[in-house]
Amino acid sequence: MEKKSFFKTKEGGLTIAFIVIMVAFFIILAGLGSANDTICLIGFVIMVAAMLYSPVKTFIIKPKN
Amino acid sequence: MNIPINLFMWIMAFLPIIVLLILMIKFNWGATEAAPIGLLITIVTGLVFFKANIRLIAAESAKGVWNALIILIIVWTAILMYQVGDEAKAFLVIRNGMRKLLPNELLLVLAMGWIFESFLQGITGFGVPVAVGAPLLIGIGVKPLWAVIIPLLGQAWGNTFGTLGAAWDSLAMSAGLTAGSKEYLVTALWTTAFIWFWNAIGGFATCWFYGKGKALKKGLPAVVLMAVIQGGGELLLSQVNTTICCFVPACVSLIVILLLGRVKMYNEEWSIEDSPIMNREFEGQSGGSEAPADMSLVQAFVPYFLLSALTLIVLLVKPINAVLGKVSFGLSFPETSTGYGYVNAAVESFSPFTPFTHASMFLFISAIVGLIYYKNHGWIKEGGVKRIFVKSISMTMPSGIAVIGLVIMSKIMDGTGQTVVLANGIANVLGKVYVILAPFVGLLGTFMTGSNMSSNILFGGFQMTTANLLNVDPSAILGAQSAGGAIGSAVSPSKIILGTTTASILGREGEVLKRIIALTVPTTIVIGVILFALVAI
Repeated sequence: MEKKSFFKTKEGGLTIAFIVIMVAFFIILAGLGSANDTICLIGFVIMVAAMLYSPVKTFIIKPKN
Repeated sequence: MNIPINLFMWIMAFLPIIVLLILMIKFNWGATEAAPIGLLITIVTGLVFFKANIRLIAAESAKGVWNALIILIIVWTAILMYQVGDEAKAFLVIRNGMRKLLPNELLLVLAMGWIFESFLQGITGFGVPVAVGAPLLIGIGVKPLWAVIIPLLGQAWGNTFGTLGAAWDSLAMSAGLTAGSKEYLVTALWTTAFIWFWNAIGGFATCWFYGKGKALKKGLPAVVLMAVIQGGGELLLSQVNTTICCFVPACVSLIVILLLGRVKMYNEEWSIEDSPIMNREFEGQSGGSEAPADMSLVQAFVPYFLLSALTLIVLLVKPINAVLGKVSFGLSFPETSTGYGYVNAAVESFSPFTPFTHASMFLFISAIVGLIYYKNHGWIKEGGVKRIFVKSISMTMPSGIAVIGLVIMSKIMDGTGQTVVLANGIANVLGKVYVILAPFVGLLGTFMTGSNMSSNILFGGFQMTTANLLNVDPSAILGAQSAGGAIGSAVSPSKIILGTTTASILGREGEVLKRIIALTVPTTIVIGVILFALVAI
């Protein structure tokens, strides 16, 4: 049986999303530390996008497959 | 603060919660999918209707991620400990051994799903009893869904005074109760009385789930005895020492239930063959293979004994706790405020993490020592160590997104004033009838934040103020708040997901929630009605 790569599984995708959230977390902290709203916004948008990975994958991308 | 408290704003504040509930309960979405949607709505309502700016939202999100990370460390270490036991096939030994000690299957389920969780809640908390309890119940043949539901119910009563009284201390702090004062003791009395009621319901519900009326009849003496020890013991001890008033009765009940397995009524094999919560084809998760013949029950429990000993020593021996507690780090956040003047004060060290006194450290050390111990005895085979770590990480990651989403959601709701509007709106509209909903507000707080402690911090001051405004006894209202908060820990999605993760049924959180909510909400309403009859009429 062909073994699916971990990062192609749902768990793998969520792991990547988790890592992206962590990166966004540090971007937000940098933005707050330097009182720069633009950096905060960039970090926040990245975080929300990563958070939405699971519902988008489950209910939008997957049903089309 | 000048946020308008009207029906529209109240609905906007409630919208994220109601959407979360509908998605999980009605549409059976998993928390990993539902939480981001709830979060998205919270962000929109926060920005549009509560006049938050991007810095506030970003700051609250970062606080949420930080708090979620601390929770996730517990999840990972609890799963690691479970994987160590599973790889060594210790759960098969525990199942077989406990069956011998407690031949009555109902008593076994009560011991492994209620009493052991109470013990764990007494010392660790933070969802550990659910994360650890679910696989243990699966190990004795309980169906995964019920292996999550039963520990959630079993641990809930210990949420206020468990973890050595952390949530209680936060209630006292936010309501301005001085330790040892008359108000303090009377509030403790109200709280423990309500919790006792819930504690008994948890036991009876477990019997009912196991085998309806027949099991209720069989389990009645055991549940009454356990409830008297746990709930009654907590009530009495709360007047002496609130730090150990949950832990001590929980320990006593653990000993007593094992002794109960030797009395005539429970010392023979008894089970309900068609029990809806038992999986009769269960062969263990360790590949269906046999338990190691040379592993005793005590040896199988080594990581758990170590966990208990470590936690007790570090948390109760003051000099050790003081030294280890010195290592602490938190993040600093600037002051933020909304257009309505709702201010989140700047913090130097937000939610500091003290790694050496944290539950995750006890779990991690217990797991590693257990791993070494099992490996030295040859119970962990070639490649087992790698399997343990890979499985533990891949099991933790999916729940991570849900936990982060839920915690950020509660932080943004809190930081934008949505939580305050929710609570104030209820009190303003209902007047004295609000008393009926006082425990429900506590439940709501824990549902949103995942912690009885956070619920008490969030609503303790509000409940106190409302009680004074309505001219009812604040001690009784505060008792209802914390008891409601404890009950709410059974329906908190972030706790449910700990169980579904370790029970390998991630995505079925809605099913769990649906069953538990049918028990918790009516109970809080009953407590509210009793309270109303006692103090508001």
